Amino acid sequence: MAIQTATRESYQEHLKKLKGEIEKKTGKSTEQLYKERQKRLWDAIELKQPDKVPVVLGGTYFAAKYAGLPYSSAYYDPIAWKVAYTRMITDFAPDTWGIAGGSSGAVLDILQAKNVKWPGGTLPPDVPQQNVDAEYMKEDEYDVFLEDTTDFTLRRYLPRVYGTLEPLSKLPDLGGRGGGLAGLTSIFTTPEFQEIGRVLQKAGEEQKKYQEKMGNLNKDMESLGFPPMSGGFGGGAGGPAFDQMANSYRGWTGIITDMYRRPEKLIAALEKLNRKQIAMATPADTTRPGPKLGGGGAIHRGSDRFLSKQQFEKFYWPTWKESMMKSIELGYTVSIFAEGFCENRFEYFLELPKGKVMIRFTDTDMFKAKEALGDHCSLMGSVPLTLLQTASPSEVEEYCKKLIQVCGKGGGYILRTDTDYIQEAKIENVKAMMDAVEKYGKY
Amino acid sequence: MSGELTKAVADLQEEEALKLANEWLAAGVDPNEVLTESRNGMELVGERFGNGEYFLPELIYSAEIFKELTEIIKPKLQAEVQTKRIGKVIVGTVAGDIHDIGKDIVVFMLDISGFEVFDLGVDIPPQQFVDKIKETDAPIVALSGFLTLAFDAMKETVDAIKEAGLRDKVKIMIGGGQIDEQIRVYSGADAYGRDAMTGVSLAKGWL
Repeated sequence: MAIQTATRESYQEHLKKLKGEIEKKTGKSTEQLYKERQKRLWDAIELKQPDKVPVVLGGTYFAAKYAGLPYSSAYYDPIAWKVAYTRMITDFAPDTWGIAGGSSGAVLDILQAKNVKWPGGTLPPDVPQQNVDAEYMKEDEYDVFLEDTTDFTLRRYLPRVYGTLEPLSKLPDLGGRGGGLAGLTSIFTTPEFQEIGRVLQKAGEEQKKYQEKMGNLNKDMESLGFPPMSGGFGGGAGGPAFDQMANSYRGWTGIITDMYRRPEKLIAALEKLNRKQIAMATPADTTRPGPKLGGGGAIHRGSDRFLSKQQFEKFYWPTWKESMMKSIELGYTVSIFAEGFCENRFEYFLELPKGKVMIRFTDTDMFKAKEALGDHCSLMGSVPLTLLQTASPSEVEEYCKKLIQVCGKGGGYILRTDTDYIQEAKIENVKAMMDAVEKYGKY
Repeated sequence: MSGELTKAVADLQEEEALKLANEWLAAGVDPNEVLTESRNGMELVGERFGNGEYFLPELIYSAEIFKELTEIIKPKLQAEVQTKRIGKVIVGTVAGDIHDIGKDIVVFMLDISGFEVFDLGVDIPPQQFVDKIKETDAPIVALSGFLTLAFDAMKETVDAIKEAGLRDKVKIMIGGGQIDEQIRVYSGADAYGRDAMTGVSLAKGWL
């Protein structure tokens, strides 16, 4: 089957073929493999010792490259991309998969998104997506933001982030419309608002198409014997408010100047974002067995080299700790993606309840993390992409062996690459990583 | 001129720094001296960052303060006494990568530390670095990159410099969130740094 011409039907055929291959190769049914892997992951998350060190493999773009597709396929050709992804996961056979999939490139095109650049759209087809750090909220807009976030979003944020929504800035304030909506409706007859209507409809159609084509990847993976990390991800109380503020609204320079020029307002905004996400959290499904991952989130600007301890304690930790405690109270195990160097953050992680936290590290020294946190949190990480890209397979094997032997000691450990954007990795090195788990990972 | 402005800048006292600069300029103090005092404050910020007392927020905020100071000083300058430049450095984010926060900090710290900096911007193809070396005779090239594709782009840039016969005329450093010794060897660069002050000390060491 030519991958570029994959259809829904040929994709189903492809899944069946993969299932047959897997069962033949392992001598086990995919149902059995699913159960074994699920138990392995659950044990590690619950700080127990599984039968073998579990391993996660991601790679939205790695899968595309592996199958000879451009990275842009994740945005514009979801069925072909799914063929590639399921092929890649089948061949490398991790216990579960990592970050997978893009989003509809057509929708981003139509909306003229400015806060992100994506392959095949505003970037060449083989350049990974990148976020644009900018001030989508101006320094003098805190009062508007705090007073009425919805109004801020509608009339200021959306027009800045999406080119086609620029006319929304011309709407009057929609708050306190005691007189009803009637007086407002004439604005919708103007050509620019008619255009917004058309564009949103088109974007909606494209979004639907993309979702239909992407389908339910969880289910497809299940049919191949690969469980999700923990069923029912999400539902928790969200990630660090500081990063949401920096990423989505103020940008890095913006939020830094706010830390000095208007700290009270910044903190008020962080608390507001946090209240909202805590209010939206829903309890974990306790009827389901196994750990429930929810809440936690990624550290972007909270790592050692971005903020001092004093700054972290003042601006970053209070709201984040609150949201994580809420997630835990709702029955979740929080899942933290600690990007950058986070050795100076160990003491804060220890403030969270034992056995209720999973932390994935990137640059942090895993051996130090094991020593400091190994009894308290389950740990995940961290094979450097630099190694996978430039070293030899035997060097990769050696490194993974050490990780497995030191960090894997006693369980509570999952092996994973430092980033899931491993498209530059040598294929033989990724294979060496997976082989190392088979060779050294059995308890 | 008692170092008060230097202290205000170094301690990130924005209002105090602007007030002093305005007062001094109004009182007829030589704008060049006001600028020098401000620069000295920035150097202290760099030192404090280097020894771990300051973090990125202090560095970036001080840059904002310095920007404001130069905005009020520059119009008063009759002729700017050319700050003595200690060396030339070419800086750019390599091809395919649009990240500029780290690169901008490096550019700023090199500038404050007395270097003449040629900032090429982001997503810079190898040839552009080569052309700039030929044009400026800069002995130092600093390649920035955050994405993992930058590893190859850095290697290609170093290779292009080599092919142009310029490799022994320049020292090359690389930097960015994911850069380590492994990537230094891979790219063929002379050194790497994971923060702006390392970049400055490398450059100073190469003069």
